[in-house]
Amino acid sequence: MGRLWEVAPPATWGILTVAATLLLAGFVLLSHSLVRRKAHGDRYTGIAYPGRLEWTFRVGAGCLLLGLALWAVELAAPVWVVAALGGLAAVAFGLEAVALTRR
Amino acid sequence: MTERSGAGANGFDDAGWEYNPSAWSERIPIVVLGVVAMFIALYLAAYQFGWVDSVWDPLFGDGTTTVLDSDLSHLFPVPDALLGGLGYLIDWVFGLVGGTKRYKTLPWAVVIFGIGIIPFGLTSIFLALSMPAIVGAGCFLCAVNAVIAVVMIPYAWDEIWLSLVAMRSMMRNGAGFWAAFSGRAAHLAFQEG
Repeated sequence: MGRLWEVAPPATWGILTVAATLLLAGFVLLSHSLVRRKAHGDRYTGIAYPGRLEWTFRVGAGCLLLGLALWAVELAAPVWVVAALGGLAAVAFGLEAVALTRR
Repeated sequence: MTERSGAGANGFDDAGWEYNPSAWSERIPIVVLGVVAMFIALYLAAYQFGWVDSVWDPLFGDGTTTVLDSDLSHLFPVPDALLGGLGYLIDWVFGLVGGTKRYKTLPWAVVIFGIGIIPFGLTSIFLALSMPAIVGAGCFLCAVNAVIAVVMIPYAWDEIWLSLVAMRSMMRNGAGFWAAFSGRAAHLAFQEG
């Protein structure tokens, strides 16, 4: 473990691990959304549609954007970049929350 | 060419799917990407072993050598590029294993293939994020390999998912986990059918 902390502080490892995991979850969920459409020939039914196909898209996009926002924080990117990515992630998760209330 | 006709004959309509994710047309792109990425990783590993003096990089200049010489790249007993090459080797070799019904006749091979794609994809994404954040430099070919690892996820996910669905279906029909995982349950079903 000491070797790890020599390369980067624990907070950096933590933030990058969470960011990478969110990005992977985002890619897998978006892939799942694509696969189910292709497999069953489903048609687009609206981004806030409470169906199971759309939740993978909304949550996947949210994870992807949140992961990028965390990475931007670690890179000390300008505040507006972090805010834009975080805001878009909040919109994606917000759409999912709206869909949940309709179920 | 996606196999959309004759779903019943090919047996991939068990879960109501309109195409076969184990068809060669679905797997060949992953194999090609895996082979390309493996050779890129081996080229980077050759630099880390000292077999080549420099690495081609059209974008970041000396960034690639800075990344490959960094402490981050030497956290493991062997260079990280060599481990990457091994990961891509697993991807394309297990992309070739089995026929066009392997999602249910060889679920174990699809699961190993999935382990090569998904957890290995996490490592690739992590390293791509770490380069600018920890080392403070960019590496063009490392980034290309990270993109390839990410592009392989949607190509592979359909087969992994259908394989898990097929295993669940076999287990609901009375097969044990190992019979479903090894593909023995599917072979017995073919013989009985």
